[in-house]
Amino acid sequence: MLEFDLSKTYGAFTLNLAATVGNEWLVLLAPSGAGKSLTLNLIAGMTKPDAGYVRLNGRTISDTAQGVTVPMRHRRIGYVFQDYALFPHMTTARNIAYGLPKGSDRSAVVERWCRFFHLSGKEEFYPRELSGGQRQRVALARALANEPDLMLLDEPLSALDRRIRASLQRDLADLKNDLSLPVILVTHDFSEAQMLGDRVAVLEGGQLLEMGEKRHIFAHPRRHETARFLGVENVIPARVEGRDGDGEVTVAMGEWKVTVPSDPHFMPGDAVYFCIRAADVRLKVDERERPNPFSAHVARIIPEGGTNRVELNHVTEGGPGLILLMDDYVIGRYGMNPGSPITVWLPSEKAFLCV
Amino acid sequence: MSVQDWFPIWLTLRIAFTATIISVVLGLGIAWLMARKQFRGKNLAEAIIMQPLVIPPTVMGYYLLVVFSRRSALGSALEDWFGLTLVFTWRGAVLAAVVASLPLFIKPVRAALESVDTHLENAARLLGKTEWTVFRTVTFPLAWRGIVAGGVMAFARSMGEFGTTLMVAGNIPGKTQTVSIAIYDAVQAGDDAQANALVAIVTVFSILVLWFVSWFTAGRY
Repeated sequence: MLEFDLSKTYGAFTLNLAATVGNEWLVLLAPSGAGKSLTLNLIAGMTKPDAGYVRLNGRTISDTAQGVTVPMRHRRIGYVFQDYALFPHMTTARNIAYGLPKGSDRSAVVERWCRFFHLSGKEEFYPRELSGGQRQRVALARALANEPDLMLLDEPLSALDRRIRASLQRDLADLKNDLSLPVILVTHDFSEAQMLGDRVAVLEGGQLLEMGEKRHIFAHPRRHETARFLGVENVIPARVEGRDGDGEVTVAMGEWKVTVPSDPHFMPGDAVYFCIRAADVRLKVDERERPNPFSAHVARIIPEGGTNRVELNHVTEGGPGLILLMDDYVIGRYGMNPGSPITVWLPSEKAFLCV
Repeated sequence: MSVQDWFPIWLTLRIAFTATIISVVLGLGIAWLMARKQFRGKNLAEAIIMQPLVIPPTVMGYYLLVVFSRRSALGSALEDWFGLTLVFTWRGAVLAAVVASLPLFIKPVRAALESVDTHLENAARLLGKTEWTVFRTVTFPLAWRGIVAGGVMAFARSMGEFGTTLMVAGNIPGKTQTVSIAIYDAVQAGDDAQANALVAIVTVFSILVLWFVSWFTAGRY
């Protein structure tokens, strides 16, 4: 188990982060410059924290109050660098065996990890002779061969192209099943967090926005910054109007009133953000009664390979416009062009509110 | 050439080897500090270390004379405690060569050490290695070309040292007269045969050294 509470200031930037990580994968999800890599550096001991502590399996490895700083070599942390940091003058086998203590069966360990990461046959290759995905696997194998108490992965997939990412993601998913360790994975890509995380912590500007079980965070983020960062296209300022007997909440965006499912956090009069994914906004094509209808004009149509991101003109005066997705076929069928009148509707259960 | 005529060559090699070893040991430490550590007065330290590249050798020699002469505190302490006399001995010539060659060693070595990604060193530390093992197995193997290049520069500079050596060690035939000084002497005395012989030997040797190094370092990491 890893427990930490750390802070570090560089000029105007301050990182503050505390968490407890059991034998699970915690994903630190944040845009670049939010302090993700810095958090890993502080835990690993590459950078000295201004204040705070790190405890790993009950052992204090850093504590500014007690003046404890355990050297990196005694921390038992496996670190996978974004740029792999493989030793360029060593073969795959020597990279993997580099950290093994004297007297250990080096060839057995190398064989085991080469097999796990599909590197068999590449043992005598130098890093420059390997592909990006293979290098990343060697870096993972090297860290794991040392039997660390904690794994830190700094954007393990970001430098790889799409096809290699998919196969490495599969390997990481296998690893996740086999491994019983605390793991912190840092990424700016919410799909990685979705695939690999047990829990997700969202950072912005060095501060924790929210942290929780992955499915909760993704289904219903509490803060509008998180919602935006998780790719929710429609995040619109609104005001709570009232709650009815069933607990449904009515919010108003200017003249437009929308009902969303019960949410005990909000009371009438609260300023909130109304959120819904573009994929959940529906086009109203007939006279049937639909919940939360809204009529507007198409502002612009942005093609995104087969589908189109359709932006409507503003919801409230000067505010953002609603965004929805439409297939090429639908665009053609209904003759949608910039300026066309359009009516959409929102399924209540897909919408949620954020602070 | 007589046995005495060979003396300057033998002395010069002895001075250059000794000075290179000292420069490498001292210089590696300094270059590592400059490449990897941040400390107050780093720029000033660098300016002082690099002085011998720009200051006239005679001025450098004069400073060394003042600091290490028997009348100075340091000079008399070295003589009383270690029996080490620097001024007007071959050891003084070593001192002059070290001072002159150190910046030429530090410059490429510092660049070579800085070119080693600190992530590699941190990766090695996190895999349980001590600072010495990290240097021996990661930093040095990746920076050794620069270190060899620096060592050769230091050696070549030590071989050719003239002004500072003349100030500190003097020109005592059979005791402190190095090749460069012997060539100057021979030319002044009109002994063209001696001058030509020494010049030819030095030239061939210099070319051989550089050729060896370029062959030795080619095609490796």
